[in-house]
Amino acid sequence: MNTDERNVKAIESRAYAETMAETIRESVIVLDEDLRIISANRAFLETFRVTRREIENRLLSEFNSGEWNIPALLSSLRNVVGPKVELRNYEISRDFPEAGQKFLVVNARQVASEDNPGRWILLAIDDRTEERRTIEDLRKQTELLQLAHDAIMVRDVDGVILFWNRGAQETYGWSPAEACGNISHQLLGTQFPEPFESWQEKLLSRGSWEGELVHLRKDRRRIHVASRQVLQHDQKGRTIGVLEINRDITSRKDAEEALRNLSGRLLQLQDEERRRIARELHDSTGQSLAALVIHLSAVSARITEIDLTASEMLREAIDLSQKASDETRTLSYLLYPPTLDHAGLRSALEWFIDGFTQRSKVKVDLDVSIGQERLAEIVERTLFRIVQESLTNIFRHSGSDTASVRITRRLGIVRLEVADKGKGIPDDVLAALNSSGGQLGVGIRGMRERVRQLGGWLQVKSRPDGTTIISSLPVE
Amino acid sequence: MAGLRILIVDDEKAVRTALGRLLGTREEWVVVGEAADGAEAIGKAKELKPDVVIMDVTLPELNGLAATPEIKKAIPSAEILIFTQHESSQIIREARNAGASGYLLKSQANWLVTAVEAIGQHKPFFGGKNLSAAR
Repeated sequence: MNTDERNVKAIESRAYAETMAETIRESVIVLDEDLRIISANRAFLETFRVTRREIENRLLSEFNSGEWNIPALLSSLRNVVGPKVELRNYEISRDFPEAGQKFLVVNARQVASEDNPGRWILLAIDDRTEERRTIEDLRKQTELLQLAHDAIMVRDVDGVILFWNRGAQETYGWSPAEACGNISHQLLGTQFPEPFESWQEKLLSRGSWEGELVHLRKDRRRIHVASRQVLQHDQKGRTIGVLEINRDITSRKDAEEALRNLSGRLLQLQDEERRRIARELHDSTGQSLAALVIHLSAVSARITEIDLTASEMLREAIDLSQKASDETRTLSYLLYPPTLDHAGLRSALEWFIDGFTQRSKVKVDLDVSIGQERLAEIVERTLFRIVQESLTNIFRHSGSDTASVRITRRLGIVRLEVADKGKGIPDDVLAALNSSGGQLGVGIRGMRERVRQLGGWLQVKSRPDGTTIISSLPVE
Repeated sequence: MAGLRILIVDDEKAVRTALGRLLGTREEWVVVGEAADGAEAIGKAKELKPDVVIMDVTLPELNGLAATPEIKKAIPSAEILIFTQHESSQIIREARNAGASGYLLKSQANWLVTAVEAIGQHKPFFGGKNLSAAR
């Protein structure tokens, strides 16, 4: 490359660099090794309200009324030359005569040029004044909320905690000094209700989020919080942070959990009690009544002399004892399926569905694919009760004349699916069923408690052309 | 009418006694033995070779539906009547599969003599709830 070519090249790259510098929004100046301003871009002139003539060839320290005469900054900048140390994110807060109070973040590195290798400094100045002001305003506002018992915090777009009120200290145990500067979801070990990315996407697109989160306190205790989060914007509409207000609802959650456990336990006790009564009725009362019918039949067979009145009375007695025997059996069956214990789930379901179809005229397709091995007694009983409850609901509410019951076993999970082709559950009813209100231990809520007791889960899928209830239970 | 040798299987003493009295109303029938569980029933059947076995379902040791095929295997001529508190089409199905000739609900004991008479003549008798109370 000859000298001419080198010059052309140098001019070209300089033109390119200048175009770049003029285009970007950040303020950029170039300094020589004495920290004299060689050039500045338009953003710089506009931000600091100066003309090119006012600044070019002036020392940085002398320019304006000496606002840039910051010894630490100047010495850092000198270090940029020679030892090639970059200056990164140096923060400056100053009152400029023309431009007013500014909060700046400065980055600098040396730039090489053909004719002056390694002796120039490129100084980029990011004006964060407005962002800082908005956060300061927010901080002032939130400071009014110091008295609140709710945890109130502000984090920036990167999740760094900027403000942490007294309520947050009470709730989580960390002081403002300990908390600020940390990434909030890392500090709090936040368990989000869905994957973090999709959760954040929702917050950003909707501008706010409300829901429950699980957090870890400083003492490693887990707490549940009801959280409300709102995006904060600067005057230009840019997102600058998130205001988050959390209320500790752990004791309410614990109470709900205890209530659920209690309700599940009550259902189990009720089942056990019903089973005991059913057995007693069937095996003792039922046998006695059966023996009574047999005795009376024997008496009837022995009567040879026809006394019409006595014969009629005996007939009545046999009728009554038969009726009592049948009623006892029916009651016992309703209380507890007779075949569940000795013949297992499949037999008990066949028996129940048989009777159900006779009574309701709902045709039920049963498919039990769980192999020959019996499931644990409590699992069989739970599945039986859910089928019983679901089919009863289908008969009462769905308007469907068919239903299907499918039980499969895969990878340690027994899955029960009860489906109908009815009109579906109205949205508001479904919402009420899924909420924490309502009567305990009945209907879908009762089923859910039974399933939860065994470490399983229950899903209700409802559409205008049918409802499916899926219960999944872990088994060994 | 030919005489019948009958074995009664039921875990309830009261039911066995009542059955003995009812069956005793037919002079040509003899109750040759009683058993209180399924295993005992098989032993007694092998020993006594009855014509008819009246068999309960819910029994200790071995239930009536499990004992039935064993007895049929040992004494093919024996006719077995399942006589139970349990009422379902499934039990009736299982009774047939086990080789029983008849099924009667205990509450319909007034049909017992008729049922024993039928299966004694090797005619099946499967009575459900539809049997009328009057007999």
